Amino acid sequence: MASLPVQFTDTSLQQQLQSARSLENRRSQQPQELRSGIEALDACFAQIKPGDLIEWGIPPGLNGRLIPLQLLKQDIPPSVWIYHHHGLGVFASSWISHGVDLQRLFFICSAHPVRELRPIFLEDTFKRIIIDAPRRFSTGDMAFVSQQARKQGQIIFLIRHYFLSEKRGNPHASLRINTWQSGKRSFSLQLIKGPGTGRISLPYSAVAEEYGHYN
Amino acid sequence: MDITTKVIDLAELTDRDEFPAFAAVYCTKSANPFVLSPTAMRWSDSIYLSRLDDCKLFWSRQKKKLRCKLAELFDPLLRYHHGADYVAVFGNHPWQCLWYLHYQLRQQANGVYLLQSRLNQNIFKTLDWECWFATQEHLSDHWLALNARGFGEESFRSRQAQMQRFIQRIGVATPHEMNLADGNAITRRFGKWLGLVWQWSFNDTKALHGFPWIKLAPEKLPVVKRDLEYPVNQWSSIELLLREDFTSLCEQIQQNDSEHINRMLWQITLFNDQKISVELSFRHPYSLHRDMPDFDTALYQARYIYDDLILNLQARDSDLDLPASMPFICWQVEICERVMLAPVLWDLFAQECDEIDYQQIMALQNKLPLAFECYQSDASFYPEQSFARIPIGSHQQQPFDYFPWSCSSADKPLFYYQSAQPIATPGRVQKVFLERNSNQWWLGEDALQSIRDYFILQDHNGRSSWAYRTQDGEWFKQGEFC
Repeated sequence: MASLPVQFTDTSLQQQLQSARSLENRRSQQPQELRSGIEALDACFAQIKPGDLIEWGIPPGLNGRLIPLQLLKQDIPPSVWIYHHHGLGVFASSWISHGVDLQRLFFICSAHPVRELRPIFLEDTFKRIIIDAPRRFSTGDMAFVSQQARKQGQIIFLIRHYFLSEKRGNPHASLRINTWQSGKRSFSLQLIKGPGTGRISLPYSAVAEEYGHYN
Repeated sequence: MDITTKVIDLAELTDRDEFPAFAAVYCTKSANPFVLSPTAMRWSDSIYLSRLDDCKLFWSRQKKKLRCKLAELFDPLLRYHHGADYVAVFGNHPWQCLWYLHYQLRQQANGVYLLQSRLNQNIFKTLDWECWFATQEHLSDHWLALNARGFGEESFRSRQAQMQRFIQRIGVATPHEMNLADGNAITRRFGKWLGLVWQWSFNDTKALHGFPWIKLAPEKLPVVKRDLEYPVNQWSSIELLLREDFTSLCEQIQQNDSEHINRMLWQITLFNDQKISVELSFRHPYSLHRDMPDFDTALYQARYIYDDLILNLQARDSDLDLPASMPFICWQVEICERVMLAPVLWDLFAQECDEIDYQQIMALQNKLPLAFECYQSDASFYPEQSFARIPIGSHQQQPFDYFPWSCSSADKPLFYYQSAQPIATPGRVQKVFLERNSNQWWLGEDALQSIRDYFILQDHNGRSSWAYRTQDGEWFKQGEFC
């Protein structure tokens, strides 16, 4: 009859459980890594920790990037936004008007970030890396980026230029979310993977200042 | 009681806010004269001159980055290289720097003196004749070294004596009391050479005006040559050999902590004996020996160059019966541009505001084929002029709150077309009027052309873009609400 090693006796299991619970408590006391000041949005990102990859589905034209932007407003560590949109450049005053600190957020334009900007992922200079609509991003790239993020304690935002669906999953992402502006008065979030699933609606005024428009 | 009034010139109360073109530095140690600029001249055993105009942009950026005054920027640097007993005078003409330096040496002073400052300008005006003539001690040596046409030392000395007698006779205490005297008048009376010195003393332009500038030849720059035993074309093999070469370059520069490299030249000889020179350039001064033993930064840059080179060679030779990637048979790596930067300068960078380690970001940028983009807002309602791209770490405290300008961009997209795209007049789409805006209409011939009406256009799929209509009724798309 096989005997259990000493470290797996009942007592040790109990101890392990206890220490795991205390770990959990300790983690829950840690400040939230990603904060926006919008309660409903912060609840979605409460579990995010350094090393996580968040996949966003934001098709062009729907103004959905204003949602990840909310998480880059408050006391962010040095971060980099890697973008690639045909012929488009950064309209910096709009970012400033949304409250982003451009002393801490840097930009770089690359269609193949892993191939062209490998040193960014090999060092921990930037604690938040936003990869915005790369032209090509293979499963191998995803594995490399998520592994490096865990190693360097970085949080990666991977923004796709299409809506994400449950049919094609992503084991590397801890959170998958679609965002878009729905009508003039609200933004919508659809959680595909994460602590919960379903749809959340945020009023426009919570995300951006409302100015009078004349038709 | 006789009360005399003097009108104080406003210029006497303000510093001149301009970057000095030259510096004269006195140091007791036999020091490196290329500390401030790669263009230098040895004036005497203990004095050298630096031409700062050649690296004005670099120093202006460091000054802006550190948000300090010029004296605060140069003092720790010179102290590091020359010890505490140095004296450095910065001004627009080397002669004025040397003259004031001579005075400060007589006063047994040390440190940095800027001739632009109000205090130094006022002291400069009190310098006496003795100081003026004493500064000319080494002048004849340089004219002789340059074989200046018509210059004779004996005649120069006799002209000096003649001028000294003249000054005693007329009883003028300082050269500045006579500064209205025309250079030509001095030339007519005391000869061409003293006329030139007179011109340098009071001329405020940065031109040398016949000053005997003898450029000091830079030291021989480190080079490593490699003749390969076998042709190589794979990056994995080239990388190992280049790493050895960088180590040998490091040995040649004796691991000097001040040595920073701007550019390296990699001269490659291909298998068909074609010689190709490519440049490894660094956006920020790069310390090779601090990157030992891996040399990641230099090897990343070499890799980007190798990839480009191989692609170009393959495209060029695609129709020829040559190996798919042309092998290398020998190469030479040489440092072709370097700058001496005291570590204290880098320590200052690290202490910059709000714990952002710009030095680390710059070091990372040196490893990339592309540069980071950094932006700052500007006080303009005109979209394209409402922000500016700036170098890393040069965010400046703005003189007033730019928020009124920034907040006008809240309903504009995050990304825009740098050159607006002409589009057809929008048909059945929703148009939301944003604002009427005008560029600097007073600069153009037709003011109406600068007026634009901005709209948000939303198609039937709910996709929004940012567009404007000119006064001619033409439509342009300027951005996408991504």
